[in-house]
Amino acid sequence: MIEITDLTFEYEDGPRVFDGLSVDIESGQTIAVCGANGTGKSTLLRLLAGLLEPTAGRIQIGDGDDPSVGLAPETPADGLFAATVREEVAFFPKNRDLDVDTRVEGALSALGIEHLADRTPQNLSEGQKRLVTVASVLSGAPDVVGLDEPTSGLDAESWRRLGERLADLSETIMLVTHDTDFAWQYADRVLVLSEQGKERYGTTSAVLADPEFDLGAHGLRVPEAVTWARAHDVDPPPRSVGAAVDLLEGSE
Amino acid sequence: MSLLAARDVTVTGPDADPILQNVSLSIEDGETVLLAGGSGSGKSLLGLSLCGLLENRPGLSVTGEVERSGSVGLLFQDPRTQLVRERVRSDVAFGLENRGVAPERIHELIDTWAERLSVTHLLDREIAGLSRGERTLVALLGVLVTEPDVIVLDEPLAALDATNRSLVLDTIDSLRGETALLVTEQHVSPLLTRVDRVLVLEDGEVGAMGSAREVLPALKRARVRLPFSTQVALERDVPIEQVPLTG
Repeated sequence: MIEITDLTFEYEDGPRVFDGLSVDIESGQTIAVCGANGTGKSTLLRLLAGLLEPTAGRIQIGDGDDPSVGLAPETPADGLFAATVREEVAFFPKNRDLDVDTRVEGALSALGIEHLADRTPQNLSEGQKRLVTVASVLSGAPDVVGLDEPTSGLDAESWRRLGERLADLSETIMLVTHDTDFAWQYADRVLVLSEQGKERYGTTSAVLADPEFDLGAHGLRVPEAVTWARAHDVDPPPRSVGAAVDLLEGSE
Repeated sequence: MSLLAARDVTVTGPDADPILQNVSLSIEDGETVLLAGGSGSGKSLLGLSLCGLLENRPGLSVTGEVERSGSVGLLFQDPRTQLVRERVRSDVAFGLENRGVAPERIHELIDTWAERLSVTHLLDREIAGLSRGERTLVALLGVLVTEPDVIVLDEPLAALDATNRSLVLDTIDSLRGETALLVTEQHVSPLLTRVDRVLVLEDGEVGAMGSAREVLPALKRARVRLPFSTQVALERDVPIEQVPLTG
């Protein structure tokens, strides 16, 4: 369980981002944090990872006994420093005294990037760099996985692989994303932040498929699956393309 | 004559692996072309190559010909790459100052294009305080004010919220036909109906070229993210002419 209680954060000479934010996250759940640019989504991740100190309030992870949080930054180049992808992905498990080879091979293969193992991270495409930063977090088996815009620059296959890998994990995952299609398919719950703080927090369906909730006012797109379902008068909307195909073929 | 023409461009990486192989592409005046492909397919490299930015780049060997008969502007995938000054207005002025444009004309161009892009509210901000999406808009403004004949937009929609994404798409709409555009993307949902032609890159080679509808099977093969409705129709083997291109 992650308990965020009365969290307030103010940048030095900058704006106050949250003012008394309280959210409880069940262990093992995937939470998508969404909202317009500048509502503090990335700040929340950095507070969770201990990279920033709350101005007031607190974040309690589990029983508080030194939990580990792995964070993949929004700009992949910010998290890449080793000479090869293999060394990059080995850094976290090495520092946690885990079985490095097994963890590295597992993370690379889960994201379908074994073929990049001996390449120099800086020479990869943006999408490939992003997968490497995510693999570098997953390889360390942290208690909490934090991913900032993990799907930006990913192709369809990498997008699906990442979602399926996250769905398989037992760890708690907080992903900051504008990609409501990804949140729709792979998140358990969605937290929408606005300048006022917590705007909505609930199950993915309750937030992203609520016709009364104006996602556009919060810089969010209605997931394409939800738009498709409304056009086809289908309720509840399908989670995936496969589910939509099954629905159509079942009704024929 | 084409504004931009690449003939048999091949780019080889440090490991002697070809990243682009014999790619040819031309862009005509006022044309909007989508360059689509999966992660690592060479989209960005082709865009950089067309802008003349791969010459003398360490570790890369480039062969083939690129001809430019007009001015080219580039929006980099990571906007931080092209933001060099402390404040927005000063940064946007940088390209014009380097061309020796008179200060009063610079301010006129900045104000006109900022209004057209709906980013006037960002002009007096510090770059360091901008979000990723806002940086993309500022970098795009820096390109627009120089009024190039061709603009290469490298994944301009990545990490934008819906509001900023609409601003960029509206800008693409307003430039269409007036300025030639080459847009690289792999999440093509909002673009299929906005472009004249699509070039699909598959593992560094041209997999297909044609209208969005003609290249749908190649886009799917190349692992490009397609609109949900398009994916559903393709999965159901709906005839290509009936496959929706949006939604």
